[in-house]
Amino acid sequence: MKPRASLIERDEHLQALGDAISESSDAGCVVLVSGEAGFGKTSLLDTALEILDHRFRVLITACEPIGIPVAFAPLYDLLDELPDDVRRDLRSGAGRPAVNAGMLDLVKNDRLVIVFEDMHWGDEATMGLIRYLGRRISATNSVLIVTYRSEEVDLTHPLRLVIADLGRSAKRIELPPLTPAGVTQLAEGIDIDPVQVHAATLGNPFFVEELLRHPDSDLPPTIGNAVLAGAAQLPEPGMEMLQLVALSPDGVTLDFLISQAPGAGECLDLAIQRRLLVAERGHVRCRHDIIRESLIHALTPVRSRRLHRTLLAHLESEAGVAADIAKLAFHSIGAGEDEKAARYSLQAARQSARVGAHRQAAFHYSHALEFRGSISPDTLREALLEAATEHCLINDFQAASDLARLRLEWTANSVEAARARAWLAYFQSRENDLIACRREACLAIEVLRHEPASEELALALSVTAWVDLVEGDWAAAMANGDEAATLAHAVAATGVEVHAATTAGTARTMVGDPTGLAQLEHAVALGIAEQVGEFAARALNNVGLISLRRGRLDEARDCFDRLIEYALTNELDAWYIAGIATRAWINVAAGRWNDADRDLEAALGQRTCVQTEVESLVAAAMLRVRRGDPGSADLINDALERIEGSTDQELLIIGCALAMEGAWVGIVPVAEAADRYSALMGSATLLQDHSGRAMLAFWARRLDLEPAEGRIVGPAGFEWSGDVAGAVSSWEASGYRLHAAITRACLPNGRLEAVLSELTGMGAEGTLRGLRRELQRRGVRHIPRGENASTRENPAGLTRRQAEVLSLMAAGCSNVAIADALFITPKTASHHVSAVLSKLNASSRLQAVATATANGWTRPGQVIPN
Amino acid sequence: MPRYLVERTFPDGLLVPPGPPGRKLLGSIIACNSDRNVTWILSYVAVDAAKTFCIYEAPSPEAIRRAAASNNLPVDRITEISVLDPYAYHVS
Repeated sequence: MKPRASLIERDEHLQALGDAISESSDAGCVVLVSGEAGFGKTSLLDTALEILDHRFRVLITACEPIGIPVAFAPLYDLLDELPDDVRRDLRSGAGRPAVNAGMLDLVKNDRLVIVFEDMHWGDEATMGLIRYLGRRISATNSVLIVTYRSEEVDLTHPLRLVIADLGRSAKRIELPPLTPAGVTQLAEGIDIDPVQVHAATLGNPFFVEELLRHPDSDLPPTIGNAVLAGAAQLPEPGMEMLQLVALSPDGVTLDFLISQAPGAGECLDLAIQRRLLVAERGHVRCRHDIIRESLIHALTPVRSRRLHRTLLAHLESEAGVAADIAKLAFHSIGAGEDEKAARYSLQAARQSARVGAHRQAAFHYSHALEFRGSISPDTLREALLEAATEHCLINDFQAASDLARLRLEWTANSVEAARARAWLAYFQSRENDLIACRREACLAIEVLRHEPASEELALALSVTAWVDLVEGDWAAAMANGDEAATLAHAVAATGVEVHAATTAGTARTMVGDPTGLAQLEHAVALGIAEQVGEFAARALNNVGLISLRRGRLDEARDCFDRLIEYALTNELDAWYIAGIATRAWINVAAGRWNDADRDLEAALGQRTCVQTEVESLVAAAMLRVRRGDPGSADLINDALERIEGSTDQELLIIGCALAMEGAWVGIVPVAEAADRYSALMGSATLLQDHSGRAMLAFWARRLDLEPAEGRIVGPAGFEWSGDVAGAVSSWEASGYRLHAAITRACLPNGRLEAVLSELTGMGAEGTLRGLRRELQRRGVRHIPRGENASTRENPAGLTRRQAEVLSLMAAGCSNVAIADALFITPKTASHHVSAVLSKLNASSRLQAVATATANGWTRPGQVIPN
Repeated sequence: MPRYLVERTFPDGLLVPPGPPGRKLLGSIIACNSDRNVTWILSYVAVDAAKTFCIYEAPSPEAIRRAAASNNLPVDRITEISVLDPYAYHVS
């Protein structure tokens, strides 16, 4: 029998998959199988799983196209296999943490192979589950296999975050296209030119197989035509049956299809025989998504609407599980039934929101709002606020503000409008639009002050306090924040209370008031206990920032680890990315550059707010500058440009520090950095901002600029006051390795050589350059040169050529093979071998290799592959 | 795509075994690079095998460092480069 196209040239990948599964007896793992549509991911899995022994329990499920996003959709296919508690949690919409924990128990207590196919279509609850399980799977003996289409997962795809987060702990198997030789093998015995087939299909195994099945169709063909040609050969009502199946991504029951028209049964049999459809447990679906897509593509609008109606009526007649609401919404939209589309979409949105699947929720809300003509004004106002909140949670602050603004238009009187404005102001604050959000909050406060106390008044006050904080007006931030917190407490608006207390507490800490930290801790505890997700995350974030400002890197990293974990469990993408970005910054500062790089890979390019974006950019630029990588100046400019015009003190300070560091290593004009510095020095806020001043003071010292007015705290303060040794130990204690090293180089008895080699060891090429410049400027002579790779002596006294020969001998090469590898004649090779034997005092090749291996001499040799 | 010269130090010398093991090793490096859109064009190896000078195409220096980390390869220095052909100015 001819081999299946999808298994040609897949031996190596099968092997890798098999290895990963068998290694799970030591430690479980995640395997990512990627490849373009039609590259044979499913066939690879089927083959690998077929040969598994009975020790494994295999669960297979798949994600469906985004037409019907449902939280935890793939788990519904596994309901019968799941433990009772997980099933109950899924049905009751208990939310992600419960389901995640239940699934973890499942993989812990059994040897499972769980397959999630087509994760590029995965809902975020399932992605969160994979991330959650993936981080813990090595402690189990189970394997999680995730397949996805590589072409669908671009930089902004949510699956990227998951993949980045799993990092190197996940094993990757990427399926390549077939080679011309592979196509030739398949086309054997068919009257067709394999070269042309390869060219037309680019080696896509699915396309190759389809083409070879219909060798008469014209070349170059479109695959859609090949599929449709097969479908067209079915008797009536074959095409309609196929399209009904295609419109229901996870398939329909055989009984339903047979009841649709006389002769349907025969058509289905034929379609299954011709490998267009597959049937399993009374369920029929398309064999491959490419087939499904081709069939849908060929649908006329009228027929599509009619078929959607049929499917909708069918679904409505069945008592369904929770997952069905999203399907009802999908078919209502397709059927053009506006009222149902609005109603079902809204239900689906609320259901997703309840289980914390915010991306899905936002998606369904958008659909529901498209049909807002069919929604009553009261419901619409509610839905708009809910929709804005969901968008906010997935980092789409602009959409959140737009929805809040739309809600404002739908208000009936001035009080309602003021309430809507308070929320609008909040979403604008998340967008970091300081001016707009202060304006809206003020307008809201003006009206709401004359009304009975309300959550919205507290919110507007709290937003105002936030703007005060960001702009550095700490007294106002404390006053407004405290008032908002008291008010929110009185009306039992816990979320707002946490928001306000966080702001007031942060402002207090800024001016060195010790009660600030207690207020912050209280906000964290309250937020976590009352589960006001977003607000609790912000409180955690600020506690971390405070540690950072006090120069405690380790403590700050712990805080952000906690935030990241919290955001992960509660599906708070915005805070997850914000946490990662800050952790990247911390890791750069602490000299943990590979960790920083990993964080940056996850954070950069994600949709996020300005603060987080700038923070990641600055961290990325710092990393490049310190490593001395090319393009540092460009990255610095990108970061500074993004800060341009901002009134956010924090951003201005980190931007200025970056410019100064750039000037120190010689890639930013010193005058430009000095200008930024003196502009900031003139601002009133910096006078109160101890930590900001301390941060800049370090670089000012390096560039011989005047220190800021007022006392300088922390390590830089020691240095400015002349206590360089104190500065060094203080930097070390805070965890700033690089700062410590640079300062140590300025010690009078500074062991310059040790500092330079420490920096070399860190890979701080750029910093080394800066330090050399500074030392030269200070008139230090005899700056040791960097380490150079020395030419090593061969301990056995072998010549370079002889060492090479020895390596080849160790690799088991014959004289002829050695000759080939070194471009010499076999005779010369044998001379070299004899010389090696005599120098090693060995009587045979084996003995020589043994001696060499025992002494570790085989490694120095090298061979450039032919 | 920018080109970079990547300098690496191998204190114990770089060993690429001949034959299939070598092909497999280099193949896995190439595959890992392509994950990150990084292309290894060629390398010059110091005769004592302690240093390599590798020419790469990559979207950014970070991409090169990440690929290097996944491949367990050291990186000393990355320099962005362009090609100067000694005969480009030769008038025929």
